[in-house]
Amino acid sequence: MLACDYKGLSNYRDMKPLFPIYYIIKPHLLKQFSSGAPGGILAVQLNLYNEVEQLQCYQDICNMKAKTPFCLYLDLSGVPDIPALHNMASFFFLPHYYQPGDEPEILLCCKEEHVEMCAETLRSNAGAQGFNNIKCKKTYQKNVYTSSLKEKLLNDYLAKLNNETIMQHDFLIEVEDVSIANEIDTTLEQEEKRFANENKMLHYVKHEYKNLTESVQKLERSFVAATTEIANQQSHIAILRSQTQAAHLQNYYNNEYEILPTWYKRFGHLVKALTGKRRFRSLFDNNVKKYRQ
Amino acid sequence: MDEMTVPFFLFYNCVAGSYYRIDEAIDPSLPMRNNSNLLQSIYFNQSPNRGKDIGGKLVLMNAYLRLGIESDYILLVHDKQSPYHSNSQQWKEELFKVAKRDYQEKVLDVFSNKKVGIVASGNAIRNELYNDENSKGYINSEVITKLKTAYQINPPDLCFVAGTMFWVRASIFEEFFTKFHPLDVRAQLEEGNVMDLAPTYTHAWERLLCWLVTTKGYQIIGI
Repeated sequence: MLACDYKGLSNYRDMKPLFPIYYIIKPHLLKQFSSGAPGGILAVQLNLYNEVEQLQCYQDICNMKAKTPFCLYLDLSGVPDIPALHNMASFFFLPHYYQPGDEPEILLCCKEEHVEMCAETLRSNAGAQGFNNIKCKKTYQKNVYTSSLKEKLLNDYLAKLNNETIMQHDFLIEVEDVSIANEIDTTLEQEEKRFANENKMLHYVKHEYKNLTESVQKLERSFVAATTEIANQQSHIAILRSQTQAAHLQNYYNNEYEILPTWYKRFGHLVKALTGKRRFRSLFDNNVKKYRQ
Repeated sequence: MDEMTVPFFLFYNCVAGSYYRIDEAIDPSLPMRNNSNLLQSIYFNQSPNRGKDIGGKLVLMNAYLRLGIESDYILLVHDKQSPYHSNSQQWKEELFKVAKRDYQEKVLDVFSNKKVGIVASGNAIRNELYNDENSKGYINSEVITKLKTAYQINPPDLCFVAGTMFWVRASIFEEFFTKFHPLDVRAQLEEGNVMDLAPTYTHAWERLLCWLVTTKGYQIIGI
């Protein structure tokens, strides 16, 4: 028997959808989604080789009011070249690029024989920009729902919800209009709410699995960041302790002052006293404070 | 932001995965906190720690070019943290001077001379020839020689702005980084907490960002 308290989940509106929903859109639709994609991730179907299109896409995303999570959906006919890779990497730096577990995600549509090479090239380029890894998700057209397959989508969504062994599943939906996306989102939300009411235990378990997975990822990030910071601080302390700067200051002092003849230094002390920078009595009495500050 | 006296776009980069902002979202109210109508827009970026502040500035330069912003000047600043320097606070204040409200009129006045390419805090301008700490690492080492050749940088002297905070005439950077992609430059830089104990690509670019300006015949002026 699983003993748990799931009463806290009774307010369904506070919960995110159980399964990630990717709304695949053409770049020119971005302006329609300016207020945000309903409960999902925008997968922008981008041609990296079309300079005009991808620049416009970049600008539209930057200017969107709502910072909806988005990712790139790439239909590649071959291994991308350097300019195309730079175009791709530019999107990764946008803070709302979808990066579960700190790894930018790309949906990849290309021929089977090119998948591995494309994925490797994309990873290598992202690595050169400091991204440890990117998630390349191979997509198949047969798994992409269109707006004409709403009923099939709904049935499949419910089937996945009711399947006790499935904790994670991506749904890719091609939409031509924001109103279609809103409609689909509302329908799926209603179905998930019904499922939550009828299968409280299973719904709770699936939600907890999702939350705990996210918590683990967050803790892993914190651990890596803390470890890195400790190493940084240790190297800083080592530098300070090496007295390199003190040696530099000492050398500067020696070169600029110490090597001067004694009579010149004494003349300098007299000038200091006459100009008020040093107490006159301190020239004769070691017990008098030399400087006013 | 409140120090600005001229219309401006703000390009703001955060380090992803930094211990000090783990899982913190970028504050969405940031644009509204500026009281004047001088702020035209804010563009946020987030990047892994590669190339320290130079890497972050290259990410923003890429964003600037892709957005097609047209600007007269670019002001480069960052949250200067030098925990291994005994006078880090004083150094930071010196560098930030050039961004202060009281100095901006003077900066723009200096730029009225068309030969000026960079304006920075006077105390931040160094000459690599007299840099005792680095044993000529950025004069004729393999790193600097290779970069100068690859990027066609041949400055008349070795003056640069230490700390990489300065105003620069935008057209100079636009021309250079249209020819040489900023992300290509960034890919060469070192990851993580790179220190200037031996010649590094990151610290080489601290010099090269200024030398690419003087190569074109422009001057660096200190205030």
